[in-house]
Amino acid sequence: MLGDPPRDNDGVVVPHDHADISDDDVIIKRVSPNDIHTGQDGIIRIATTLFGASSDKYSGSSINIAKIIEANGLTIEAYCSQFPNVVGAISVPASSIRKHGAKVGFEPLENDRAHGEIWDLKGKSNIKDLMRECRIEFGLENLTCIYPAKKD
Amino acid sequence: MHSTTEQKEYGQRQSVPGPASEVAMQRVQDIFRQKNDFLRWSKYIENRFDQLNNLERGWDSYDASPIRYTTAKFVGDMLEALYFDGLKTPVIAPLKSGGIQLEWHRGEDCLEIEVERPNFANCYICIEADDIEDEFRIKSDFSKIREMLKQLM
Repeated sequence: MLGDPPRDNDGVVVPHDHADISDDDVIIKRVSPNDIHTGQDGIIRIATTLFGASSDKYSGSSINIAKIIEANGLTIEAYCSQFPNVVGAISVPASSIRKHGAKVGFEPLENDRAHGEIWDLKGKSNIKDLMRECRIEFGLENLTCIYPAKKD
Repeated sequence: MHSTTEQKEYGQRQSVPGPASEVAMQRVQDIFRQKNDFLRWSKYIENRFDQLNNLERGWDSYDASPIRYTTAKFVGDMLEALYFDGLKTPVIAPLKSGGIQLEWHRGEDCLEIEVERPNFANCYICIEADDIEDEFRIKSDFSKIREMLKQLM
């Protein structure tokens, strides 16, 4: 379904914007209890750390690619719920990530074949804007919102 | 040696509570309240750090790292330096990379401090009413953040 991603000499997937992930493709981010916090204002929201970089070689942020999950006959909820520490998932079109200057790539893992990465999503302002564009896929009933909207 | 008159006046000051003693009593009560607030604040932070220290690799359902001890220690010292009377307890969120993020929110306004490792923190502040939005890096001088927190509280 998706072409092999580019890898370095160690076999690690390098940052890339995958040609087979179109702007309309839905990108999923699984949410764990440690990603959810109640602010001093009483609003229960997802922390901006959700899209933070990992400590891996190229500092990507893990995601899942919805069309791979669906092609395997699973719902987003059924696929994501097989992983530990998942209380829900949010989604956003790939175009929303790209417009913030980030790359959306494919990095299939043995236990997570629909796994991908986002690289170069920089700046809290960009992350907050991206989170405001996300929608809830399943779970997360206790949230007040994913992230509070800006005042007009 | 005090004269009889002075002793009488001194004795009167001791036995008859006046505005000065009320002010002093109020001050003592404030100090106790502040100390209790600080103890509650410290206890919350200690409990939260205990929770974070128990996070294992993959706590986010992907491949997040456990929290690094050196970073937690640095954040603890930072919080002690930032404390002032009236400062609300921060949201203390784990970073996927093993760091820690501190957050204070007021609706869409916020101050977030992302500590990747000791002496390496990114700060983000947004106060919409004052048209403030800034992102900057700090090492070990927390005075700028302390002033911003006072603005946000």
